[in-house]
Amino acid sequence: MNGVNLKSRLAEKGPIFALLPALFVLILILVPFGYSIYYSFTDASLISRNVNFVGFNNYLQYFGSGLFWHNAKVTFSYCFLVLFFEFALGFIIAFALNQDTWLGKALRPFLLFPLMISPIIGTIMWKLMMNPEYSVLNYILSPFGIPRKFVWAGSSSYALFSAVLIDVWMFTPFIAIIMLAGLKGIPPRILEAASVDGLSKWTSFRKITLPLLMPYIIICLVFRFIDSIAQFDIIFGLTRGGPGSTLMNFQVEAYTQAFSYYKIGYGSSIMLVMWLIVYIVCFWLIKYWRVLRENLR
Amino acid sequence: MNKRKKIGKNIFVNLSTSIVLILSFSFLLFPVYWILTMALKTNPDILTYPPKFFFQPTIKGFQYILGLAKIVGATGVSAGVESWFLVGIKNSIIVVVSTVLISLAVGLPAAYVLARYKLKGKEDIAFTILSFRFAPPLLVIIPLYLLFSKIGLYNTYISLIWVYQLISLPMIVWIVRGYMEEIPIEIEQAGMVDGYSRTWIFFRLVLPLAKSGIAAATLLAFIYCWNNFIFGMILAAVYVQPVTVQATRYLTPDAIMFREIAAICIGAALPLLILSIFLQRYLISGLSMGAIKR
Amino acid sequence: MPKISLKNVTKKFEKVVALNNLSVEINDREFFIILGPSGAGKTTFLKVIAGLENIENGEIYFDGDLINNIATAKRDVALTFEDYSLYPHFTVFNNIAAPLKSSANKNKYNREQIREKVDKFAKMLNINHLLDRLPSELSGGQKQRVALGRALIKEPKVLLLDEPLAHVDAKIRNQLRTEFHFLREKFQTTTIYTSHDYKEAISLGDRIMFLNKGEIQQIGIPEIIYNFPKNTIVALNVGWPEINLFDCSVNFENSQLFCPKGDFVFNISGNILKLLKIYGKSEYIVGARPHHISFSVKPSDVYNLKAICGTSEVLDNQSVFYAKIKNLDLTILVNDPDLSLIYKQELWLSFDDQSLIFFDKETNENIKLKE
Repeated sequence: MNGVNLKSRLAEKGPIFALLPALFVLILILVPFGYSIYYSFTDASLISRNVNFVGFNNYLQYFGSGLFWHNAKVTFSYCFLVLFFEFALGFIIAFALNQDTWLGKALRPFLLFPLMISPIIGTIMWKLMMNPEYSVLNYILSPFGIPRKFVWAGSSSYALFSAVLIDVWMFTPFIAIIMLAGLKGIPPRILEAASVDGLSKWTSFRKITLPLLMPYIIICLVFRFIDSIAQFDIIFGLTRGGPGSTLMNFQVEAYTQAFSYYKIGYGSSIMLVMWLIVYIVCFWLIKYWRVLRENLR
Repeated sequence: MNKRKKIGKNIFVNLSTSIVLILSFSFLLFPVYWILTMALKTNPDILTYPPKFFFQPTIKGFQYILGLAKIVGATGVSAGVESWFLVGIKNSIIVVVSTVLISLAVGLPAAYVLARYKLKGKEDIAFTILSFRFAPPLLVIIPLYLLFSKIGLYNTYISLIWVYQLISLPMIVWIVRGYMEEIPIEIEQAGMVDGYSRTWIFFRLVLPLAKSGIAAATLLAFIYCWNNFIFGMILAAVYVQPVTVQATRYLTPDAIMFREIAAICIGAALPLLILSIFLQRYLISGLSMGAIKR
Repeated sequence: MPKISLKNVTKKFEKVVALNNLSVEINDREFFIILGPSGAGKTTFLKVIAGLENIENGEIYFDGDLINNIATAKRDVALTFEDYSLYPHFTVFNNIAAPLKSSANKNKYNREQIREKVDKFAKMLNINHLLDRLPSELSGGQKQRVALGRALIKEPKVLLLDEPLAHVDAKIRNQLRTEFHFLREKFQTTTIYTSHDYKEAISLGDRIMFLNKGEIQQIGIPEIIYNFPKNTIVALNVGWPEINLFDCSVNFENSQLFCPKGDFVFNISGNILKLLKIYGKSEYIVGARPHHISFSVKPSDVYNLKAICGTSEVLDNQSVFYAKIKNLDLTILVNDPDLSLIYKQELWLSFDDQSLIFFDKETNENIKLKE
């Protein structure tokens, strides 16, 4: 190309050098990723030096034994419950805060508290409150019919609910704060024009507010979806996947297989299956998000 | 609508808003409050039902986790208690601060390149960097555990700092890049016309103008790293593990040391809680900007 | 104070051609104006000369030296951007002083000298009372002056000004335009100044280059551009109100011009007729400047074209009004602020045939420039 000499050509390519360290650090993930794939086809174990190639055995066992379906069921029920409640509650809180009442403004600085607490720490805190002997929760909820020694995570019927409760407590603020930012981003003029045009509050919500909030909703959806599918800290901290295998989602299962049963190969295969699912869903979600964004323009 | 209806409507809106806020914030903040009080109660006050809302406070819990307490063994000999909490805090600080500093050193130039330069496949590179955030941690931890053990990096600060890059680097690159794209390129061109080098332009024009984005990204990265549990649990042992892992050290299957556990929870959470109040602005802008700017 | 030459310069942004095979010579110390509508390529032109954009093809010379490969910092040019592009976090003083402290000019000036120079230029531009302010605290006109100070302070060989008066209040604009005249005299640099306002161009320029969609339409001194526009595009953009253009055909037998849209004829004679005969064609686009059309409220031999009056406005000591002959809309300018014309009133118009401009219907080019 005319007009570019060596010096400026270097200046053009120079930036690659700035990018390299970042890429190099991230090679960090490609090497273990490759190893994961390798291990998933072996019977690698923490207690044996022998590593034998076993082909697709791990995968076949995973799907064949029904373990995959169990993990999938736990993972996705957790995910959908969490998404539903967090969006519902987050929306409500965002709306309430958007009213800019005195109370809302005073409380806002504390909104992010649960989010600031490490998931494992938060889980421990809830565990303390859920202890059946001295549970303050049982006390507060007794008027609603909760028995005195309600076991929360100790029972297989309510373990999922307990875990979801902790997740909702922890991450609803995330959704609330982003929705609030979205609501504040809607020019009041649009809503005024709508009411001048005679639209009811519900209609203007449906036709104006909701579409404008879509990009924010999708972003929350993507982040929360990924995080809840991969949820480890809360479930591990609560019951390590129990009681029995009630709360075994993909990651906790993989951890247990790899570090409790020492089956590295099996654990790796579980993780790869999960990663594939996440990747595909994300890919489509983001595609949809990009399309939405263009339409909004 | 007529005035009476309007006032009535307003009262209804205000009332329901207040009810919603009181209920939801009670839900969000009660656990923190309760655990704080638990950390300050005497054991009899904790191990009782109905739970006590009024009590005489004691600092024994905090003394214990800070290693300032003495326990009397079965033989009547008193011994000091090691403070896992302080070990954890020290480790957290070392690992997280180093991680974030390295992420900044590596990520800021990368963000600039991604913001400014026309490269083939630039968006793909950017997406790839972001996609690392989506990988389930265990996917890399299992092989890394074996790898690190083999090359002697198990239970070292370096291994944690390196692995933590996985969560802090993408965040910094992604958020800062968004802010940098907002800076008009003409300002940099003015710098070139004035005779300045690209390096000067980067440090004296771009970085200062992206200041708030950098602050927000740094804060978020710090929080994410500080709160991380799984890397430290698996890839390190006692004396390297951050405070999040140390907190689980008290969860013995036999006697539950309610107060001490509560105290360490408060201790582990307190730094970020206080930070969040003072740096609200950056937090919120980082969270929403990171979300919007894609 | 170099002579600048561009030879066959082409600049593309992806598929879009911003500058199409341009060749132009700008003289030493000339105040050269690039005139054109938005998107014409004016800013790109300046950035290419400054070295902020690479070119796909062509050469650029300063005084005969090829500068294609020379980095911006070394070209000794100064550029003021359309939005000023002041450093937002530097004070006015530091903005102006910036060029003096850069690596290209390092060690040339010590602190004292820098302070002196900045004070000198600030005083010259009447902004010495603003030195401690930040750009966010300045008005458009003040920012413009700071940008100018930053550009002039390094006494560059070439001064590039990108639409400097575009975003400045009308009142300040006139003031600044006068100051540009003064600066022109004082700093004998080669200056390239872009604008979309022809009045500015005609007032300030030694020569004007009309640029449209990346192609040069015409280069010449202001009088030529105005009186002999090379094509319809130049004619439309230079002059206010906009020139009236309409199709017509020449009848050489009875020396008349027939306009189909207005369904009227009028006589042509003298030099214009001779010119048309020489050119030979019979179909043209005719350009009539609004002040070359006159009217009367009563018909006569001269005023024989019936028209219906449209709306009118009065500005300063002139009036502009619109009239329609059948389907042809015309704009007319009269030096009388007291016209009391009534909407839909009947008028009789006359064209000053000698001042008409004829454009070839196929090429849109001014036939007078075809020699």
